[in-house]
Parts: sequence; structure tokens; C-alpha cells
Amino acid sequence: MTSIFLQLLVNGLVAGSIYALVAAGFSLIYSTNKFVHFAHGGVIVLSSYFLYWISTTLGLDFYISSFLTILFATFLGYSLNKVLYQKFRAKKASNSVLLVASVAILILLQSLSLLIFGADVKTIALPLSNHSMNIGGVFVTPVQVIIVIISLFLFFSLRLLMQKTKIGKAMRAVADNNEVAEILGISSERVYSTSFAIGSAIVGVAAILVSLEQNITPLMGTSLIIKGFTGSVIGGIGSVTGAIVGSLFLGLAENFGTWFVSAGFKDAIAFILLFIFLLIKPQGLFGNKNNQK
Amino acid sequence: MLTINNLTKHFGGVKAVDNCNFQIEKGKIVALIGPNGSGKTTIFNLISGIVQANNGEIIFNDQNLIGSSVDKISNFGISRIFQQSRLFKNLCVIDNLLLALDNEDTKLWKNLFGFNKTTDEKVARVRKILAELNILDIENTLASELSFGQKRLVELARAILNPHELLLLDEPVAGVNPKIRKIIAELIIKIKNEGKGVLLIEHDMVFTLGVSDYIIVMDAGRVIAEGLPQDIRKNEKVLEAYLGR
Amino acid sequence: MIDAYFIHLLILIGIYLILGISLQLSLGYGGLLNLGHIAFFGIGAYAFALLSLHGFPFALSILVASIISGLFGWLLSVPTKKLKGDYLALVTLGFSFVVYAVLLNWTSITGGAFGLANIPRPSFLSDNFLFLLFVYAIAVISYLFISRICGTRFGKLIEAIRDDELAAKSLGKNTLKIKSWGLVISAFFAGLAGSLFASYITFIDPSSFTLTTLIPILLIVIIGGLTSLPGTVLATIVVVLIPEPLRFLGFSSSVIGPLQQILYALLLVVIIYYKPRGFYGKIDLE
Repeated sequence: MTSIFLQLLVNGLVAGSIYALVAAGFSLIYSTNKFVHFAHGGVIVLSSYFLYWISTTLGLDFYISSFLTILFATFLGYSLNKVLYQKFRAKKASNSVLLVASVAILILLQSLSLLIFGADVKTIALPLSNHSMNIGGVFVTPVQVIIVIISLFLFFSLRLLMQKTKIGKAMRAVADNNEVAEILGISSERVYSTSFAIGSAIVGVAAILVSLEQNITPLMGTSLIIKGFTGSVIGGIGSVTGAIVGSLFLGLAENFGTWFVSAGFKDAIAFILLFIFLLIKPQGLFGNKNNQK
Repeated sequence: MLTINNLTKHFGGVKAVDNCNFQIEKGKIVALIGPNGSGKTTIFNLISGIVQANNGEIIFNDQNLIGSSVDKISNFGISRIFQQSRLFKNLCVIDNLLLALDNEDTKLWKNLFGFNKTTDEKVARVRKILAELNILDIENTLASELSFGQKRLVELARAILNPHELLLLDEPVAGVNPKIRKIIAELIIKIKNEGKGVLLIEHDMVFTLGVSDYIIVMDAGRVIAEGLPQDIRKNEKVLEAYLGR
Repeated sequence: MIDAYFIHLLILIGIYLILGISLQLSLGYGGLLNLGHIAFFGIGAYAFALLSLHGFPFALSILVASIISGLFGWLLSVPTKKLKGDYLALVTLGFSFVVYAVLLNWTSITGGAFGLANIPRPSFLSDNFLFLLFVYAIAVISYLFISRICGTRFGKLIEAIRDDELAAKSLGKNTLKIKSWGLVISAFFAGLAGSLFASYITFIDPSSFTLTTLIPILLIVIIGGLTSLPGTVLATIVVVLIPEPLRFLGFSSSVIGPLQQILYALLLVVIIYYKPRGFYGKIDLE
């Protein structure tokens, strides 16, 4: 019995780590920009296909490809802000309009992936052997271990960035009250750009890890952003830490949920949790006054 | 007709309304005055049900309003205007006003089967009050395109057309020119003479002292004085509250 | 006679028209950014499919499926009664995800990813041209019904609540009841469109009821202009026909699908940027 429990725990942590990577960047962008950047999911899917293209089709070394993928993701997210959201903001567009635009972009990027690469599932050739290892009765693959390790590393780095660096403090200032921040000389637009860059870079890492762990499909972006969004809502959408914790909780809830319902309902668990939390506890587990308007 | 007993409301640590007691009789215009932040608009919000009291009673015609919803309270016979005009900006003036006449428009099936037509009689009633306020010419203008003064007038007309016995007017003449101010004053007096009650919040002392039968003075959430206009004018506590401490 | 493909396009226009005007009621007139609207389309489709696959008569199946969809509209109105703007949009989006997940995973009833096939069509409608006439008869009735509602005092009240709910309440209106009705009627007609869709294609699966399907419907409502029902009609024709030239350029169907989605998404972004009022709209998207 305990080995099933431990297995579900590990599976939950691995899944949760992936969601947390998505949610961390997403939440960083939300806390500073104050709107829901659903197109974040589009950045994931296009970056995954980018990785596939340069590593498999073009045959570039995996590690170089990964590095380029992170750059690609960063550039894509940054551009979306500069080319799109910034223009909408200049027109004083409401949050609803930005939301609709970002959903449209998500679908656009998803369809682009489908168009260029087709619907069949793609896999990435692994640079290392990925046989399941048996550690104390629990089965886990090297990739899964890497996912958890890299996630932890990124989360701590992000926290350091937010607390100790000038740009991190600027981001927190804008997240808290951007009018006051402006008066203090912090450029909101620069902070927005930076948050998009950092958030998208993190999700670039997520794209790489997900591509190794699962297969690449055009719909993976939508699926992951919904999970990341759910994790953010559960943990408190204005808080990056909350988003990470909420996502880990989601990963665990999904996997432990399979104890009670069939594995196919895993997604349903996430969506139902999302719906419930949006309605009942919109400030999440780590309540933050910056959440709603 | 309206009795406030021990009414208290706090927001967080701040007591916006602190144990207030007063009465409004029908056929009288009562003014609620006091410096900014003294709790006047909160009293309005408590009476009209937008905000729920922490303690106390609001008795209107033998009915305790505490706990009732905004629409229910309106249907008991209390009508109000807001400090900032809240018109239906994408509807024209006539539509804004027709909505106030009755609640037949909430009945889907009645409307669907054609039993709630806009009669000439209803339009005439709307036009009558527009004429009294001298704004007949804007009847087809979209509410969003009205000037500030016109918006105030339309909102006032709307509140008056809404069937009521008590009218709550939150700064009815703020920012409005003297000519219109006079029209509004005459209209309010006419309403009082019909036996309705009027409770008004105003900062314009000339207007207030000219039109009111009774004045209640608030400061920091409490009633600090009340009486006839001529007495309040000379009241020490009132002057102190207004001129600073 | 008329080219079979052309008939197909016209049928799609008819079905999308009903879907479009139902969203126009809740979004344009009601001011509710219901991003979960496609869920009602799906619920109607699946309800109809299940009913007719179990032998219920055609007309009854359509009616009951639409009513079931309307019921879900009511269900959604309860938790969302105090929500506005982007928050409402997110909750309705969440609702559509839940519905999608259920359709995808409740395999014993919905057939899961494989969906439901061989949905019966009455023999007198087996000819597509006759089906087309049927769809348009329903579309015209739907248009007249919704147009009538919007033209009455009740319709003005729906708009008033959109503009300022508190002011409406202060006039004694039970705004929650009215908003509920708005969602119910909107969902009913979306479900009606879904039933027609299921009956036409005779095969449905969850992939037809995702965010991807929402984009062209949103596009229709916004291009036509918020609160303009005639605008919605025109916009439906335009939106359904716009990707057609791609077919003439000789692309394969695996290319046309995604290209169509890209085109719709791009157009949606462009229109809400440059002309959020659409062509015949009275108000802006907010």
C-alpha cells in the first residue's frame, strides 16, 4: 500500500513541478501586468516544436538546442508583449479585451504548430538513457528526477531574483502598486517587458522538460496553461510562490485522484478544482489583495 | 415614516456611522449635512440596502429594512439618486426614464406576448417631468452624450418617476448652475407638498437652508445636532465641525 | 441543382447564425463575457445525440436537448451572479473546460474521444437541401424570437443591467433573475444550434467543442457589432465564407483546418484592436 502511495506522491511531484514551471512564469507576468496571459501556453507549444525541429530535424546537439529553445521562448514571449499587449495597453484596453486577445493568440500559436508540424505526436531523442529506476519500491526515470531538480533550482533562483536584485524589487513594486512605482522612477513598461522575458524563459525550460517527459502534440500548450492557471489560482494568483505551491498541490491532487477515479478523469479533476477555487476562494490558499479588480 | 435607531456601521476599524438616531416625517424635507467623511452617504447606502448595518434598525412604515436587498427596498417605496450619476449610458433618456415607471419589464413572458407595450400614457408621464425640468429636447439623446448638468437632472427625474414615498437625494445640485438649481428646488418642494418625504445630502448651504424644513448635522459618524434651519445656522457645535478643529 | 458543397456552407451559416445570435444576447445585450458559450453548444449536441440514439423522436429530441442546455445556462448563472468583466470570463472559461473534460472522459455515456456516431436523421430530411431549408426555418424563428425579446421593455432592462446593475436594482429590478433568464435563453439557443449540428454531421466528438470553436463565434459577434442582430447575420456569412478562397488555392485539408484557425484568431485580434465596436455595433467590448 505504501509503495502505491509513494509512487503517486512521486508522480504527483513530477507533474506538479512541470505545472509549477508553467505557473511561475505565468504568475510573474500576471502579478506585474495584471492580466491573464493565456498565450503563455502558445509559447510552450511553439518552443517545444522549435526544440524538436532544431534537435531532430536539423540534428543539432541536444544541449545547444535546449539553450536555443530557451532563447526562442524568451524572444517569443517578449515579442508578444511588445508587439501586441503593449499596443492594447496604449489604447487603454480593458482586462477583458486583453484576455480575449491572449486566448486568440493561444489558439493562433497552437494552430501554427499544427500547420507546420502536423498532428501526429513527436518525440525527442533523449541524450541519455531513460530507463525506469527502482528506488525503494518507487519507479522513476532519470528525466523525472531532472525535472524536479531543475524546477527546484529555478524556483530558488527566481526567489533570489525577486528578493535580492534591483529588477526583482522593481517587479514587486509594480506588482504591488504601479502608480506609486512610476512616481518612484520605476518604468512600468520595462518591468512588464522583463517579466515577460523571465516568465517566458522559465516556460522555455518547461517546454524542454515536458518534451522529454511526454510527447509533443499541438494541444499540449492549451492543456499545460490551463493546469498552470489552475495551480496559480489555487495558490493565489498574484503570488509566484503561491503559484508554485498551488501547482504542486494540483499535481498531487490529480495523481492521488486516480486512486478514486479512472486516470482519464485526471484532467477533469484539474478543471473542477479550477472552477471551485475561482468561485469560492479566488484569492487562493495564499490570499493576496492584488488579485481581482 | 422613517426611523433610524442606534444605527452603526464600521468598515474595518473605522466607524463610518456610530450609533445614529433620527426620524424623517412625511411631507417634510430633511437635510443631512456635515463635513466630508462624516457618514452621510453611508447612511444613504444603509437605508437603500447597498451596505448592511452592523447594528441598529431602519424602520420604514413599520417595516425594518435591515437585511433587505436593494431592489426590495426600492419596491418598499424608497427612491434615490447617487453622488455620481448612474445612468444607463447606452440607452437614450426616454428609455432610462421608462425603466423607472414600473417593474412590468421584469416579466419575460408578459413582455414576449406583447402585454407590456410602451403606451402613450407612459411616454406622456416621462415627457411631463422632462418638461418640468426644461430638458424635453434631450429625450432621444444617449445618456453617455449628456452634459454633467443634464445627467444630474435625468437621474433626478428617474428617481422621481420610480414610485416612492421617500426620496433620498445625494447632492442633487452639486456642480449645477443657479437656474437649474432653482428648478430643482421647486421640484423638491412640490414633491414634499404631495406628502412624500425627502432626505437630502448637500454642501450648498444656501440651497439647503432655503429648501429644508429640518436639518440633521453629522460629524465623524455621529449626529451632533439637529433642528430648524435658523437654529442650526447659529449652532456652535456645527460651526466648529465645519470650520475645523 | 445547387452545388452540394455550397449547400454545406449554407447549412453551416445557418447553424453558426443561431450560435452567433445566442451569444449576441448574452454578450452584446447582457454584457456578460461568456467565454464558455461553446459548452452549451456541446451540451445541446450531445443531449440531442443521446436522445435520438435512444429512439426519441426527432423534434422532441431537439426541444429537450435545447431545454437541457438552457438548464445548464441557469446552473452557470447561479455561481456567476455577482461576477463581472474578466473574472466572469475566467469562470465561464473554467466551466467550459469542465464540460469538455466530462465529454472527453465520461466514456460510458459520451463515447469519450471517439464521440457518438450514426446519429439518426429523419428520412424526410435526409436530403441535404431539405435539411438546409429546415435549418433556415429554425434560424429565422430563433432570430425573430431573440429580436423580439431585445425589442421589448424586458430587452431594454437587460441592457440597463449591463450598463449599471446597481442603478437597475435601485429602481426595484430583480437583476439576478433577469441575468439568469438571459443566460438561460442564450444557452437554450446555443443548445438548439448544437442539436442541429449533431443532426447534420451525424457524428460528434469533443474536439468540436473547444476554445478553437469559440474564436469564430466571438469573431462573428464582434465583427457584426455588439447589440446588432442584423450585423450578426452579415458577419456570420462573412466569417464562414472568408476561409473558402483557401480551398481554391489548392491546399490540402490538413492545411486548411489550421490555416482557418489562424485566420480567425488573427482577425479577432485585429478587430478588437482596430474596431472593437464592429461594423454595426452600438457599444464597445469591455
